[in-house]
Amino acid sequence: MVRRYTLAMARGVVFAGLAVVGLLTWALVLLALVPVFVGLVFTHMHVVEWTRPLPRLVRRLCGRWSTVDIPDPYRPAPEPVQPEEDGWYRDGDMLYKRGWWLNYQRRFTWISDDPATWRDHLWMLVNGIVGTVLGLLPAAAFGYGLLGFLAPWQPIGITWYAGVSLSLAPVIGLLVMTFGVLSAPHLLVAQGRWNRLLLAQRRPRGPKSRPRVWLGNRLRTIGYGAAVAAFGALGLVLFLAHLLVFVVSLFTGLQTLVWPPLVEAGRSLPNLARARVKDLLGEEIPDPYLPEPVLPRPRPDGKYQAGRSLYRTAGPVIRYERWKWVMSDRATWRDLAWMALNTVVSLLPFLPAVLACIGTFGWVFPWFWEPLIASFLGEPVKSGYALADLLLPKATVLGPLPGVFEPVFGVLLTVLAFVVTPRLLQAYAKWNRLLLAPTQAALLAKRVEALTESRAEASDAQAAELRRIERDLHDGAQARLVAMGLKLGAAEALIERDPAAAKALVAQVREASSVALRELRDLVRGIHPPVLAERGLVDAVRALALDSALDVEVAGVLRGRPEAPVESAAYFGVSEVLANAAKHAEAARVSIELDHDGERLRIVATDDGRGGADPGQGSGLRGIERRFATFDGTFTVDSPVGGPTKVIMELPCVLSSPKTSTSFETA
Amino acid sequence: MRVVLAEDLYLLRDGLTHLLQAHGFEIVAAVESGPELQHALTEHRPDVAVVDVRLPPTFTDEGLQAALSARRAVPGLPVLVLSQHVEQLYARELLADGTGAIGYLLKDRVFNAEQFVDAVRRVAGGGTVMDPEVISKLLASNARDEPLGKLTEREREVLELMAEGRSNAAIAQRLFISEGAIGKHTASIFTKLGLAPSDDDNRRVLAVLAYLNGTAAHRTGGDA
Repeated sequence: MVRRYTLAMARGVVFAGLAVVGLLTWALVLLALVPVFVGLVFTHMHVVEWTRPLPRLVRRLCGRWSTVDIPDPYRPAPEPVQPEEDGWYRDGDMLYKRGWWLNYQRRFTWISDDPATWRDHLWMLVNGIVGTVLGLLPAAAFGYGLLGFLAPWQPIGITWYAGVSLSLAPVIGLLVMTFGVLSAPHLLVAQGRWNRLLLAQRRPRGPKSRPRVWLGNRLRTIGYGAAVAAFGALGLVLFLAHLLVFVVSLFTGLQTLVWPPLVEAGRSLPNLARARVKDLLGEEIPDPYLPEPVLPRPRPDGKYQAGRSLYRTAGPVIRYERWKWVMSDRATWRDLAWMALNTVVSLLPFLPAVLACIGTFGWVFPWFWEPLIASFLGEPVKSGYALADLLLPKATVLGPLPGVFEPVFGVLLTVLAFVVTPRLLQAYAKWNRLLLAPTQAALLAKRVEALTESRAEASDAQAAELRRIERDLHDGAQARLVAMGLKLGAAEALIERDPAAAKALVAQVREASSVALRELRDLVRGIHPPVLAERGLVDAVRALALDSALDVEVAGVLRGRPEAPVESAAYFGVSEVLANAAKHAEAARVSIELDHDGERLRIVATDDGRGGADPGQGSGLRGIERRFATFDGTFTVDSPVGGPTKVIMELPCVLSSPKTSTSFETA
Repeated sequence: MRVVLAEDLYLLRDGLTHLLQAHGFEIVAAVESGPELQHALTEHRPDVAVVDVRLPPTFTDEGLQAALSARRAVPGLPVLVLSQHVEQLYARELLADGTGAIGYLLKDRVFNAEQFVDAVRRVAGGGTVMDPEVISKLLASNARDEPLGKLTEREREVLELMAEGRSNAAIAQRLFISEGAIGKHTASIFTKLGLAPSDDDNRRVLAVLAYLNGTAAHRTGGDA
């Protein structure tokens, strides 16, 4: 009995001790962030990992002492990476000679992605107070009670006790002692329950109520707006840096050396803003910059030309070209204008945060807390905004309002902040779009670049195709016709002397002509399938489906026919996809849907195979992709490992009205 | 026997005319475009029409469409379709009405005059003639069909020849075995494929082609 209470008290003290250790650990983790700021990001993971034994110990003690079981909530540690067959370690598209770096990265994400890590740290911080209080309370009460109990004897020179006379002190002391002793086991359990709150795995919550979702969203938006203001300040710094470097480099003549790299690096801030605008408005702002200059080519005499100067090496020319490139790009100047103006405009989305703070802390908060604080201190708080002054120097600017109106206005202001914040952010995003979106000229320049590229690819592909046809004709039909001519000549010579032999030769020639025809047929099929010419895309795809060993279902109607090259590209796209489904995906069924929405032809092929198709690996798919690019078409492969594979082909085109003369049904 | 011939290439049209005339056919019309063919078919009501798939004025599948619409107007009108290439899709459409008297051959087949003339006669007589290439494509695209997999090598050969539209006697001659043996093979094939046996050559080939085209009744329920 006595043992139970004593133990409970002692255990409470241990918990309190661990809480203090936790607080110190937390401070240590915070201190360990310092190297992070000088770039040593990866050291922090170790520190965080080293702190785990403490919460682990507390969990175990909670189970043993407080009868509150808390299982470890951590995710399982990642498996060490295995090298591939060739001994290299692969991560996405990167190969590594040794595995330690990958292991390190995996451990890092394992630790940092685990919500339990951050809950541990929150626990260390909060438990520093809660745990200490819960743990020490029984022992402290016992000690304090003991002090009162012994007060009449004035053991350590106490002359008063809790404001009561010394004669009453033993009674109160006894009560307090009893409280301490009796409460110890309960507080020990309370300690365990409290720890479970943060140290156990977060229990999955049911769907949040709508107001809560709304509140959460708006709070996030307000915080986001505040972050935007910081962004704006950063823009100003960057703008001034640009200004300084520009002026200094012009005076020192180093502009081609310093300015282009700075401008390029500086673009990361507007680019960040562009990405944010996409989050906010849902529409992407395309990259507005002019394409980079191509590498210079030497003149016939081996020198490089920049303007009217000649150089021995390409370096100065490249720098000159890049200087011209950033200077002539209007996006450069629009970016700079954005940086300068954004400093002011970005205060707009910051407004809700300010309003909410003034409302809540400046007006609502003091109304509740001032009287409490005043009664606690025993003296009136400086009239107005004691707390508000601490938290926010502003409310005084607005001046004190007549008593009761303060909380009313405070609430109104806060609500207003919550209501307007998304609109302000939207407005801010639109303002960003104004200066950050590409100009018409930039869009056209980009288009020219893309067209040049696809034209080059198309003519390459066409040349290769012609070469293939030439080779096939040369080695196939042409050679066979020569052989046939020879044999016919021989037959002619034999026909009178040896009619039987001549007949045999003629039979051979007939056989050879069949083979030649078959070869020509295959060749024609590869150039432009006859069924496509005769029937159009949908029926040609049906013919493909019938020829395929897979169970292929074709659905779709096209009102009219696309232009012949588009039709042909689409046909060969489907053909390649079917071949892949049969060869690599081990599919049994494929469904193909064709459809034209007035602007683009869209073909979706879905198979039930094992997936994992990568257009980058198969030359067939890559070729189709290139062919599509010529028509501004897209060829998208969605093929998760395990399937199903879905290929979406889109080709912008118009449909010509069907030729009436092909239809005999109406005749 | 009265023949309507539709072929846009003069040399080929002339050659076919001579070939058929030499074998005792009467060419009532030799036309070179779709509309003309349409007209000739309805006017002459020939015993058999020999038609090229691709004809002017559109050079698409005019011949095929004309043949199909003529057969809709006159069910069972014998038509032999010739083409530079064969498509299962077209074979299906030609066979769809299930009345027979249809042929579908590669143009190359005219090289062998005897066989070609035989094919024309068979079609005129209500038979069905399919190019070996159509049949091999059909079999290839049915590669995963289970009952087909159960056929022996010899049965497969017999099936191919049967599907091309040959009679037992012709198959026996081709494979150098007795007609009786062919009879046993065909019976076994029909049992394995679950088709109702038939002594009539024409109905037999149509049943086999319907099976291979996946349009036979027992397959509409869907199989693996």
